[in-house]
Amino acid sequence: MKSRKRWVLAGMVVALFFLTAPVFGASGDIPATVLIDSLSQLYNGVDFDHEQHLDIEDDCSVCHHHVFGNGVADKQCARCHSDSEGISSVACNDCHVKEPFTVGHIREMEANLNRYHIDMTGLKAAYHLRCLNCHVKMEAPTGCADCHERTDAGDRFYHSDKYAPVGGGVEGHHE
Amino acid sequence: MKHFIKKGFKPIDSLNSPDDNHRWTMKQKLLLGLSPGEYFQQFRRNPFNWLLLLIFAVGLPIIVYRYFTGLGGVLHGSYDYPWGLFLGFGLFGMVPLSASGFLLGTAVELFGQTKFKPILKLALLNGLLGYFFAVVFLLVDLGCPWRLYYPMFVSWGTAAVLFLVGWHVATYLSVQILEVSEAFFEWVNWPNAKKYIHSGTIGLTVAGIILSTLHQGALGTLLTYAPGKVHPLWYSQEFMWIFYLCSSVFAGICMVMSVSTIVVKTMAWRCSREFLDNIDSITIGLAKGATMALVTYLVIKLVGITHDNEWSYLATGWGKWFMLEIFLGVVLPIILFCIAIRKNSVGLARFTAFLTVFCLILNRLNTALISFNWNLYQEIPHPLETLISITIFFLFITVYRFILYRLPILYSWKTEPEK
Amino acid sequence: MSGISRRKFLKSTVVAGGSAAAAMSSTKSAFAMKEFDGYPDSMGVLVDFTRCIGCRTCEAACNKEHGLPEPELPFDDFSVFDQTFHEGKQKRRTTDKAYTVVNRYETKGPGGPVYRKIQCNHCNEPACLTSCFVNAYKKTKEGAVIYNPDVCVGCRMCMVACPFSIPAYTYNSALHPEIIKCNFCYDNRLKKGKPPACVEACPQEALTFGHRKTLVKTAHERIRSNPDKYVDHVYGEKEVGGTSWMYLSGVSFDQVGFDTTLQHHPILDNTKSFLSLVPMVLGIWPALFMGFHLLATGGKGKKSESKEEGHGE
Repeated sequence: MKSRKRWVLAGMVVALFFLTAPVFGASGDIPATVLIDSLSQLYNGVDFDHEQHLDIEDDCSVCHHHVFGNGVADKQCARCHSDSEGISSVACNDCHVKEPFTVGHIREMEANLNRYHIDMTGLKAAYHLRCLNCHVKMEAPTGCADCHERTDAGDRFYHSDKYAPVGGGVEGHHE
Repeated sequence: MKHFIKKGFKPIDSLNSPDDNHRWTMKQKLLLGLSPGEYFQQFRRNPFNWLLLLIFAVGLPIIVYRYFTGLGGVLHGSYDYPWGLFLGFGLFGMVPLSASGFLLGTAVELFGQTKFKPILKLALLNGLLGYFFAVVFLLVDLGCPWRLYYPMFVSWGTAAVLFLVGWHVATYLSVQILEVSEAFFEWVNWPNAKKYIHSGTIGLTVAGIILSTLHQGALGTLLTYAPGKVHPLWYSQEFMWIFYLCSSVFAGICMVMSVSTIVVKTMAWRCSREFLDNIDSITIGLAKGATMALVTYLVIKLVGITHDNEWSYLATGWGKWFMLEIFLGVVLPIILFCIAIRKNSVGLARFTAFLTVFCLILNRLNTALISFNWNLYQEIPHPLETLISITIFFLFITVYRFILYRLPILYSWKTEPEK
Repeated sequence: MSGISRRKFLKSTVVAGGSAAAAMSSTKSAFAMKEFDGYPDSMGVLVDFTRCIGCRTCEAACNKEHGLPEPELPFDDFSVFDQTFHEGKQKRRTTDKAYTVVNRYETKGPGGPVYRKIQCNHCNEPACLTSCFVNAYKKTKEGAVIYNPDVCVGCRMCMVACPFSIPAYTYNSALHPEIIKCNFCYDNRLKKGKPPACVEACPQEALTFGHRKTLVKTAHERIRSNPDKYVDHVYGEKEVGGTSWMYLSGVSFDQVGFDTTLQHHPILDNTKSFLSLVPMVLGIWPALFMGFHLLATGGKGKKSESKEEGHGE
């Protein structure tokens, strides 16, 4: 009698494990946090809390478009991709390039104007448009420094903080 | 001068002195035959000279200051209103007033209207000085006035209307210098030069009317570069050049009438008998010409408003301002001129001429400055800009008077002694 | 003097590259060229106001790229959006120290304030270029409208002509005043196929760089794909003959300070009716007025000199 109860308990643990499997992804290695810093220059990298965002929105396709094969959030995308299967690229920078306006990239995009995605943004805009559109809707933080601290180069670039001009005043007009 | 005239003095008007038939020297000619002391006396006695000294004492240093600080020192430096009084008054205003040169030249030399011959030289001088001082205004207004010759010899932007204006003003100025040079050559006693110029009078006059037609119109066309910026009532894409050309006709005529009035009232001693005897009928004759041009202008203005269907604008504030300008500057002068012609009232004709001149300047300022950017804020010229404009205008008057005192413009030069 | 053919000039400076290609493809078009839609490989920028958040990074990037003077306030100071001039009638504009500015507009739309970037639009047939009588402007084949201060006389006609009132002038320079305006980062970037500094800096890609022809298609496709998001108009596609910098907006363009009454043909066209008269007047007036002269003098020409000349009275 005792051994039967043990088997049932073990079975429940195993079932529990598989039931919670999707939380860890198909291959089971959904990162809890992601350091987004490939474009860091004026700002430091972003310590992105992936897990927290999953708690808020568990439909991966909202951010990762239609790469998981599990449905499409956006109406526009659904026109073509409602039945699309998953693909191996899930990282943003697998499709959104760092420098979208080089001669090469422009040529590549224009080589086939029949392709739908001629209006695909570069990586920096992909992050900002994807993140901020939702942050605005969800009334989450939208200030630049809320996600990434500015570097010293950034302060100099914006003529801000310790590089702020002395005297202040009115500009944007004659004299 | 009237003081000396009363005492029996006669200013130099001949090659040789009437008393002992000796050749006048240049110094004597410059001093009109007075001694330096006497000349200074009459200068001092004239209150107008005190006004001139005051204006120049204030204005000339400001003009020098402009070249040290750049335009920013004397203008508001507006990017929305790049043009101000220097061009609005000095160029757009003075150029149509200087149309008298080609108008009277054409009337007398081409159309054979010898009735106006006594005033021809004055009209030519008026034209020359007006254009010359328009260039002076330009030299103050340009950011780099030392590059004034660039559109001639350095870099050509031939599609630009301003290119045409620049070349025409330069060429026309040359034509006018040649036309007035006859009087100058008489005065300095270079009779061969005078004869040489005189032989080309017809050619010069035809050149004058070609050039004037084109650049008077071109100045109007300049505003078509900014169709949305000039108020619709003052603007017409198709007819702007015609408005400007037509208004230059009565502007030039009225300017000559105004100047001749001032001349007759303040320096009658300098005018020949022929001039003084005929000036009244000449004035009435000019008034007739001006009236015809004014009526034409009124008609084409109405055509312009109808063409662009701008009637509803007349009900606005700008519309009222426009109607005031048209009434004071066109309708009222037509009425007054008609009365003056009918009654042969020279005084009324002269008053109307002054009114027309004033309103013509108002019209040019309206298109280039006041109704310009009518959708934006209103710009008031910088005080220094105003002072400089006044100074240059009085410089124009001074040079004008200097020449009228001396050269045979209002009188005929005698090369043989009187009998 | 002024008899130089304007058509010839227009061809040589505006159609330099294009006419050669046109001549090779079709001999007719090189002579019949009445419209100019921009050089075929002209670049452009599509400005999307629905993406702009008013962060002013583009202003900072431009300032750095061109070594412009230090601004009065930091570029992350957003109080500048509240600045107005001339008794509240005007917001910030381009100046002799800023090639570009961003303004904020409170609109009737649901999405909150709209931010707008202002700079030279690099028109296909620029009013500044066609109004300049010393040929100080050049429309490059990459699409940039650039200015040469070495021939500029300072007449400021271009400032009057620009329908967008973009050019600024260094009035405070006594010896070297010049026009200041965006040059599409021509010297260090556009010539080398790189995007302008502002485009590169924008975090939201409110500025999209590409061939103008493609951008027109992209713009219309964005509108088509998101009809509720955009006003169905690509500003700059047709205005004043087409501009290289074009705009998309979520609210009507007049609410964000645009002149929506601009003509759809180049400013230059306004002067053509007068300028075409010039050779006619030059040709006709001499005979016409000599004719009047002969009529007035009874066919004899100028009356013979009267003896009164030189005697007066």
